Amino acid sequence: MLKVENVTKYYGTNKAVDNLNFEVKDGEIFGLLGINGAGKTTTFRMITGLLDKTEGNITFDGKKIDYNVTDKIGFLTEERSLLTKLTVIEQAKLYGGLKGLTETEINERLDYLLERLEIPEYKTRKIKELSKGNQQKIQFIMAILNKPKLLILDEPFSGLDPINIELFKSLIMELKKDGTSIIFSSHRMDHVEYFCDALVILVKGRTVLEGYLKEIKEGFRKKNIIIEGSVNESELKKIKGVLKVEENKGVFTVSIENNNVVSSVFDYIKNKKDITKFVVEEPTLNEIFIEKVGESYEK
Amino acid sequence: MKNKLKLLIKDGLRKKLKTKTFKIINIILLIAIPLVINIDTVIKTFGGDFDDPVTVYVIDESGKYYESLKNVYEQTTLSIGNQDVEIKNAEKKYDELKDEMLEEKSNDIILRIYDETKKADLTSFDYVDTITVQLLTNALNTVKSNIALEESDIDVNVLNEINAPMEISRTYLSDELDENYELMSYISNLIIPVFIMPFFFLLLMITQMIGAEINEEKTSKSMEIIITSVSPRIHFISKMITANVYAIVQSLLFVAYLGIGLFVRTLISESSLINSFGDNISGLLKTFVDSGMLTDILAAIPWIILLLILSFIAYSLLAGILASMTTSQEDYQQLQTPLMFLIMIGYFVAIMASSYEKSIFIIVLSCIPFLSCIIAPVLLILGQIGIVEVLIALGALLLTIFILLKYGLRIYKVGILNYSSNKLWKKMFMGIKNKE
Repeated sequence: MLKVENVTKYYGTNKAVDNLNFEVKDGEIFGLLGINGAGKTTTFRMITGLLDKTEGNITFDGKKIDYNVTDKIGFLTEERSLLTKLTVIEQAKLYGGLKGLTETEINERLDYLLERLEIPEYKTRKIKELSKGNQQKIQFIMAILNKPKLLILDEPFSGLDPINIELFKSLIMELKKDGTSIIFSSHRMDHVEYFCDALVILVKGRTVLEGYLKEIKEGFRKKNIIIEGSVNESELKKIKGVLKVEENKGVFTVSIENNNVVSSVFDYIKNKKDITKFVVEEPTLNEIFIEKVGESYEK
Repeated sequence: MKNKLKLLIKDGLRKKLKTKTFKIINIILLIAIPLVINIDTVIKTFGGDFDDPVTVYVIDESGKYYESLKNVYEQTTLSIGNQDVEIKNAEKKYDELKDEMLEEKSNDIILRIYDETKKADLTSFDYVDTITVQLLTNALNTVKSNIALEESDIDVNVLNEINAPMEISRTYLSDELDENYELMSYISNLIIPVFIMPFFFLLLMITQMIGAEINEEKTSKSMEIIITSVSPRIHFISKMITANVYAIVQSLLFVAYLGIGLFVRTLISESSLINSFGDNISGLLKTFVDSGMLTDILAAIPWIILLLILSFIAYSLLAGILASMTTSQEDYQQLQTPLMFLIMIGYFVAIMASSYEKSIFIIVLSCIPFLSCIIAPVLLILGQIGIVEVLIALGALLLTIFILLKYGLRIYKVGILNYSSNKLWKKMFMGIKNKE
């Protein structure tokens, strides 16, 4: 289990991370979210031992993170971190060797992962000759080559098509099943919603939201009502507690302040004859994120 | 950690030694170096006018010169290896020979020697190379003197007395000096630029290589993955060892190519140039041993090696630190310019050392880290400094390495994860202050 307790990091006088607290249990996927410059990379670097924290504690399975512990960590960085002049097997031998794997272990594991990601023919190919998506696959393989106990995934689906995203997803879920603690960071909120059990949202190094996804959604007062049928948009907007109405191909999404507004909206549509759908939905993570961060999300 | 260090060194060397560039460059060197060493054979193989033998037809009107001239000329050319000229007694008359040469546009020569006037003339269709003319002139003068002495009926002892060279004995007021040493010092001055050239190139190679490696890992972000598994210190040491081992391997290969070139030369060429070259080397070595200079150099070798090893480490550390601060290859090229200057200053000062004997300025420079590895060995061999100065240079180097390790590694640790040149020097200064 990874424990981050009261961690603060200063760069000179600039506070990059401010009193951060969270824990990731074995077999749990944890989302670390925030816009660019929120302190995510600094947090990852502190967890992997690349940076020293100014204050606080970071432990993994109760031990301070040092070079014995980092052998059990896998790290997929947001940008490419491959030596592209090397072949895939050469790169695996370097990164795997640095994680303490033997050549036989590296070969076996690499063969398995290349097979799983449907690129076994690239084993002896130079990385620079591969497409962006395939390089991302190799980067992912390098991160999980050592069957990590803690895996950090920073934008893992970058440059991947939907089919390959599914291949990644199945491997990530397999690792979760095997008890790997995973920290996941992505600008794609649908992916975060799919994977993460719990999350933290950072703004300028400070935590603005934290907890289990389900609880966060339940605790978020704003809801959406989806209505399909002939309704008047301006009449809907006049109802007290309605925040916003959006129409798309005859489907209206009505944002409301809280659950109490549902009955008012229902009263309005109950006399309408051609209503085919009326559903009260939880807010999406994207909405929660925008609400909390206070600005639109960068893709 | 030891295993990881070994892995990084092995990987670094494999990356360098298995590259196509390394293989291609070494194939080119393997072909080019023996070719350069045997360039005369190569040129001769393709032929040309220079290759045609020249016959000197001697018309000796006195009847006294021919035999002696042939002997003297052949003896001289034998010792210097210029044997493409044959001396022959002319069996035809001057006009006949001249007509033949005109008709054939021949490169032969007619040497007509007159008796009474002590004059001779050379006739040729084309230009004659100056060496051949000079050799013929010298041979003629020697024969002329010998004939004159014989005709004067001078006593043999008197003749020997006349021919005997003047003996000049040297006296040194200092008991420690030796005549041969003076000669060798002169020769050393000539060979010093060649002697220090390999160190010069080794230093350039090491600084370039370390910089390029660190820069590549940094710009590709693979540094972040590597540093999560090994400490920056281990990573840095691995780069240092890899670069030095690579430089040594490349140097040894270079020496091997030289050896192959010389071996090929001895195999394919039986010309007297090689023999005389061998004789010259043997003679030089004998003088070297007799002068006591060889003993001095052998005694200095351990110190020189120590100085070189420590200097290579210091240069590697500095190159690594500079590379860690850069964000692109172009940045590193700029930042390593001062290093290149340091190496070049050392090289030029070392060459000038023989002209400015015991210059205090040069002796002081020989104790300064980064310069000492090139200047101090030269001064030591020339006898301009002793072991004390070398020890001072070694002490200064050790202190530099200690400082670079203590403070430079802090900069390295900050530098390798820094991707912006914004406030670079401030970040580096903060890095030095950070004791962790």
